[in-house]
Amino acid sequence: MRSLGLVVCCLATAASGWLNSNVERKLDLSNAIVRSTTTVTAFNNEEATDEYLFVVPESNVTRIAKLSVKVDKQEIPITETSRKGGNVYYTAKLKTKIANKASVTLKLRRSMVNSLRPFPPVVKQGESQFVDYNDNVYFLSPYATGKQTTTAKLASGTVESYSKVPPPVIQRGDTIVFGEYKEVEPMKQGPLRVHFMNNKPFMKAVTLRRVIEVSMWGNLAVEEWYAIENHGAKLKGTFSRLDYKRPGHSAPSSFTSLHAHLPQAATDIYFRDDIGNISTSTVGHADRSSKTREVIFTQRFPLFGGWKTRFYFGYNLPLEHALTHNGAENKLTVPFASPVKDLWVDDMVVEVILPEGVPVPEVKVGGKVITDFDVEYRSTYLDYSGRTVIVLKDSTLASPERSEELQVTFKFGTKDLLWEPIYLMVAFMTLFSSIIFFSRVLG
Amino acid sequence: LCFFRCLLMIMIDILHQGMVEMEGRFEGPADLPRNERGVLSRGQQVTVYLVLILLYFLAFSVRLFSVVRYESVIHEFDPQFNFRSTKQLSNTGMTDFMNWFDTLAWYPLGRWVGHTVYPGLMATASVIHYALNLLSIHADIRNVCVFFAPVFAGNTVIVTYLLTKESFDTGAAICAAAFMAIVPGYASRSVAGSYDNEAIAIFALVNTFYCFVKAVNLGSLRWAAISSLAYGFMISTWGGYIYITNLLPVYVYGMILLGRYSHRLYVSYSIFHVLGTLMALQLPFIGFRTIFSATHGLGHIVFLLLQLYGVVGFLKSHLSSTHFTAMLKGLSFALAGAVLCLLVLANIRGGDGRFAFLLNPGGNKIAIVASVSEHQAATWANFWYDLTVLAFIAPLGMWYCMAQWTDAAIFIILYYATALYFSSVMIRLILILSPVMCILGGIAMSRTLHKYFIPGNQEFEQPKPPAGREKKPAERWPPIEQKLKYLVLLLMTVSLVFFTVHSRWVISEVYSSPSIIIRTQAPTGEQVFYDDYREAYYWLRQNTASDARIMSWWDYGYQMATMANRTTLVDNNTWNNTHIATVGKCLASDEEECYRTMRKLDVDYVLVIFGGVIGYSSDDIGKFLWMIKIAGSVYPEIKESDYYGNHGRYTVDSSASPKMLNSMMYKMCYHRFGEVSTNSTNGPSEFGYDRVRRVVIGRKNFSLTRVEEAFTSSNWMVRLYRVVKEPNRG
Repeated sequence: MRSLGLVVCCLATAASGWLNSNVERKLDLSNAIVRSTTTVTAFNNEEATDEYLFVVPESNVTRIAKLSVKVDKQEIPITETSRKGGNVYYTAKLKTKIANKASVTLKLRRSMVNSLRPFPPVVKQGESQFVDYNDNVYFLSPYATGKQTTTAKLASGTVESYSKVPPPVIQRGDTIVFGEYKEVEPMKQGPLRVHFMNNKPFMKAVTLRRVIEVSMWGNLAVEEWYAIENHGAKLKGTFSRLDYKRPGHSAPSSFTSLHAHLPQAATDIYFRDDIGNISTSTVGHADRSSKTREVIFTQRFPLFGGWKTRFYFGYNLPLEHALTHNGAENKLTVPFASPVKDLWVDDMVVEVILPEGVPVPEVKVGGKVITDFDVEYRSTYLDYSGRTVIVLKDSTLASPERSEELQVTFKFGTKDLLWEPIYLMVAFMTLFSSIIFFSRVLG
Repeated sequence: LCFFRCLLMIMIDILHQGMVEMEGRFEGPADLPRNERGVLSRGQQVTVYLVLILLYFLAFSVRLFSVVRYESVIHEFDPQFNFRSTKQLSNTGMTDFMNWFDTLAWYPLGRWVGHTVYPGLMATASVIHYALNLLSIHADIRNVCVFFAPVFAGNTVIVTYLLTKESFDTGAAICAAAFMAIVPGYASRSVAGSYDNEAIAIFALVNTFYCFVKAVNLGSLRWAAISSLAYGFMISTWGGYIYITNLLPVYVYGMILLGRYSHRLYVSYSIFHVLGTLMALQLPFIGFRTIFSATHGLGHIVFLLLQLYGVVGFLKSHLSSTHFTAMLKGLSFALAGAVLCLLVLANIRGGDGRFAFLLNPGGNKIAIVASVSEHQAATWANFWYDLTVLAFIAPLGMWYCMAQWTDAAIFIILYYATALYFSSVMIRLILILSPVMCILGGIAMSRTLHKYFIPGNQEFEQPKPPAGREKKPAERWPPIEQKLKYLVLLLMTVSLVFFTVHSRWVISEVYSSPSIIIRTQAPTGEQVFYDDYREAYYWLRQNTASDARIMSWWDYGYQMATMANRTTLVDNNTWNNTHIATVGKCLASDEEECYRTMRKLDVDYVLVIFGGVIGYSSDDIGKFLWMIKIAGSVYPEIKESDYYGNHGRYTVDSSASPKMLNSMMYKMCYHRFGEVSTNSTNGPSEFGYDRVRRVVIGRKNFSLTRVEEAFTSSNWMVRLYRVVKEPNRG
């Protein structure tokens, strides 16, 4: 049965008639998150089509933080079409139909977490962290490939070992080049393994909760709650402050700070945890070009492998930086993912607190309309029926790799703004008139 | 933050000046006819209200220095526990709180918190929290607790005003309230973040006195009942309620002796005593101690005496003298018999250690009571620091009280005399003294100004009285006093200005430190914060097993339970002396001995505080002698003398005793310290130089085998060691 399935699979794929004339794959292994960029020049052998298939092994799918395909620097939509033989097939929909005997260049970008396995899994304080990376030495494609090379950029030139078949495999400093391989059949696989030193911080947010509160009086309050863990090789034995402070002896794979890019207009930035203020953060200068400001959140203690911490930070933003309105129709646009650099987020919840009385709004993430979100009503200051809260749960490895924007369109007119002052006026009037009543009439 | 800080400083400065001016203007309300209390003109009434509102605000804002300088954080040790209990209470409700068995403390014994606390503070705070939430003001419970003390300081100002007004007049009352707002002796325990029993208890104390004095003045059943309610509130907040329990009987007894027995007194005290005793019975922590404990006995005796006095007085007015004498004989026999029976039947217990210590300060001290710095005897400097000019003018106020000699004035005198005694025995009780000092100071200030500057004697104030006026005032005031009055005015102004300046300085510089964050000035002039405690506690909270047991000296128990959320062996509720002594013995003994104890007690981590790197003097080496003393009081094999060096000095340098250098405490504090080079005060850097003790340590190269370093905070202030478990057999 299995061979039959394979035959069917080959038949199905061979039918589409593309040929990868040239594939250049760049693996960036210098961080905790593995980013790969594959430039594919595809040649159409048959009739005109606008669909190109590519494959990801099923075991890798859960580790993908971001997957995108660009043609001429324009992102094109991709959809999962089928799962066969342990692989997941994606279809990239090209903008135009590619005629027979014509070529197109596609740029595949993929970011993966949890792909570098610390080995050995425990290290002592002063020791470096080594990681093991396993992949397919060929570019996995349902089409035949003319020629291909894979270039792996490592975090350091210290390499314990790497797979040397099929040749040629050449190491030059911190890069290893696999290939060039010619005439590769469809779906061909072969092991690629690199074991090298990588002391980059393996930051992972086990949970992240982002709360975005809209006040129609002109403020957007953002608060983000993190539970962070160092996901690298675990610390074995003692932690000595003396050695940690000694130059050259310190723990190379530990980290103390997180760098975040907050909006330039952010004010009142705070950084706290369960037991109070953490007074070790630095707010950098604004970066004019990207309209952001780098903030360094230095933790109370260094995080070694396996160590955890929890904290939250928040800031205020003038509403005009995030909200546009057209009559009673308001459109809130904020970044969807965490602003912290190189952080892998496992589980994210985004809560958008809208003003009181807002009907269920339309929510878009990265341009796509989202419908599976929860709606809650939460009472805070001067509320009668509670504010509308949208709760978006996202466990698809939200990370800063994802630059999508969250867009919430809701109805809120100027006259709805008057309720709060009216409540206040009534309350104070009642207070004063009752005082007057008691002192004049009864007193 | 800076802006807010500036604003606050300006505000406080303005208020200061305003207050000094106000105090200058106090002759206004003070000139009212003394016996027509409460008859103020509309304008005066408004002025009084306005002044009180300003004083409330002043009392509140002057206590915010700690929040402005540091952050909105709970201070020190006991407040941490109160904060944690408040969270527990607001999560579970009162019934569950009373049954709350805290497993994070006193491992493996645990603590039945509901029956070993005064829940008044937590209950009040959670009621406030609940009420705010009901109004949709979503105040964080931590912020409610942080700002609790300043708010109650404002309330205390109001009740001080009422008490002084009840016993004297409005002028003195406003003066007293103004003193109360900023007196350092009270502010020391009521700055923002200092969420402790005393913060609310002083309010409850003054409130009880106010209600009782009012009851005595009016002889009203209603006010007697209210005063017992106020007493009930006081009982639920602080162990210091015992002061009221004994002061009021003494007052009643004194009044009888002075021949000032009245029906008013009879009604107020009888009602107060009966209802108050019932209240005390309701609190699990006190329970039947209120009947059987000797510390409560005085109240019962005086209550009986008062009944007897009342009955005898009543009979005397209705019987002939022969019948009366016979009856008196019979009655006294019956009474003697009854008292004898009572003594035999009832198991009268002695007072507790702290109380006995108060009444007999020269007697033998229990080590653990004596080891607490706030239990030391107060010196003159303490009084000067906490009360300043009030210490001088209060006797003057007492003189005015004696001149007046009303029931209320006698009460104030008695309050003054007893509180003065107790505070001189125990520094902490300056707190009880502060209100009466303020009251007497207020009376003195107001009366003196009143005497010299009565606006009714307008002509006297002008150097040349207009012709046609009577000469009578001039005769009353001889010329020498006329000149003297300017001197008096000058003195008064100077002392008031000094009082405000000094109070502000003391409150802002001395009493506003949270003590878990340490702030110092770097040589470059910029401020440095040492946040090591929280660093280590947070590390514990995040990176140890949730049931990890941590051994440390008891001072850090409450902090660890609250901030690290981990189990401790001993904490600041020092209820089990033996357990504390065991920990002390463990730290004082050598590694093997200590390890055996630690394994028996299931210890996972050991925490020590070490200040040798940055020069933080209140560390564990500094407290080590007390640990040895406490351990020695239970385990005779621990001898204090073994830990002194060659010349009988307590030291850690090369002349230290081998016991000292071998002790676990020494080893854990100085582990690998010999490899650190620190600057001595006026010399080059040296290896292993302890900046607190100012010596090079005596033993540098040693290793620890039974424990391993788990964490050391960035300035070495907190050092945590993991206890190495024995490997499995086979």
